[in-house]
Amino acid sequence: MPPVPPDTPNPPPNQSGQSPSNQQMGGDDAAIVEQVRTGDTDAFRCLVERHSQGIFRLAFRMTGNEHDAEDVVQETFLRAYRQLHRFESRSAFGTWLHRIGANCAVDVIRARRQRDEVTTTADENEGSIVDTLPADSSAPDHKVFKAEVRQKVVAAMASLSTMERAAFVLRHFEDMPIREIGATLGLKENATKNTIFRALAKIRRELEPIMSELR
Amino acid sequence: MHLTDEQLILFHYKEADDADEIRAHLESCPTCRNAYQDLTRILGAVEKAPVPERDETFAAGIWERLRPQLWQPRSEKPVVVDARRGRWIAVAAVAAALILAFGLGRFLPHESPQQAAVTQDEAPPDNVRERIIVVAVGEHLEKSQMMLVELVNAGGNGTVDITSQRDRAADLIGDNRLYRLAAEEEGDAATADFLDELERLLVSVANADPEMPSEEYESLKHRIAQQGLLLKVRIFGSKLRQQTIDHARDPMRPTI
Repeated sequence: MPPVPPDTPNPPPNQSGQSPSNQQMGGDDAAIVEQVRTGDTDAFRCLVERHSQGIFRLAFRMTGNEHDAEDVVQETFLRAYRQLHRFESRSAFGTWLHRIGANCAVDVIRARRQRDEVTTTADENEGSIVDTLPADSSAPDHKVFKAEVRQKVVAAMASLSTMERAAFVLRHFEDMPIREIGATLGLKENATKNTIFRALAKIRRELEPIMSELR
Repeated sequence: MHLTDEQLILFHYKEADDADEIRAHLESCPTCRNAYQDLTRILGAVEKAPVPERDETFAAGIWERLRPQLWQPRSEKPVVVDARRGRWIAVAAVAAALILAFGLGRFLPHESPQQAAVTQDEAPPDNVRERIIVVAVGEHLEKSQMMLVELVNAGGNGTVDITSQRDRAADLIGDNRLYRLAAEEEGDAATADFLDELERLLVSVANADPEMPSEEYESLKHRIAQQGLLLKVRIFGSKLRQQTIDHARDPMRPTI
């Protein structure tokens, strides 16, 4: 049976923006937030420990750079602490935090774009995203994910512009609605759609030669 | 007529306006069904794109760098103080210690002539350190005044952008708190009350929405005016500046 989607297709694995462990522990987040709000600053450490890996993954996917991703994680928690009084406990803390992380990553991307406009030539000599990845992937599913496919996927993601990458990651991994992505990236709705379309066209082009392996 | 890639992408992400028609078309068209299948395979492959792992020490490292930047004021709302404040905390701590040692009340502007006379009799031996205190508190009040002036003069349609004032208020809270505590320790209730009023305002501004709704902004402005905070900051600051000038003219005259 071909994969004709049902009315409510299964969400992508990371749709919630949380790692499984975060989801398991998510019920306690609100209680910790309350603890921090009442003056126990050190309780914030629990939230950092629970969510830093998830935010790092989001940041890396958006920026494509480990160093930038670490900066994004730091900044995300700082902003979250600053805005903690605005967090409404009825929503999931992880989702709220990921929204902040996405905005921080966008700021990094924008700053990089400005920097790149000045140093375009230097940028061309920078290492590709492939160079930032560990030689021997420690991803849990590496045994079933062929090296060639992996390299192609990495190359496909690296072929995206920063805005294409950000828009695509927010739509695909964060399940952020296109309208909201537009607001986050400062794009109109149609421009956001086109950015995502372009991103997917590039990815498709990169992966076309190995489509048979994906089937 | 087949579906376009764009239609399939929007459909996949549940953002297609004509989702029912697309679904019906996919049921009946093998070509589009194959195209959609390819799309989902590609997206499935992308999900497996590796992300570098971070070990267990990663979160601890983040926390270590984050912790000094967090500060919990007396307000129930948390306030984050910029890392640049670290230098000021050190300066303010030294200043506060000196204030405690020499008596804050002796250099603040509400002292009576009798008190001033006692002060001169008990003038501390190191005028340099005294000047540091006056300069540190003076700078703090000057910065507070500048922030307040900009705040009451900010404007906008619908919302008022107070990002810059908010960040500076967060920077000023730590110093202000040290001076207030010093005044309380010294039993200088008038100064402590003034600094307490200022601190409460700084905390409110530091915790405010950077894009403050007009109504909230007007209420904040009204509060500043009602408490006469700007005027009080000016008076205290001006008194301290005058003391600095007096000392420059007559270095033998005690600053405090």
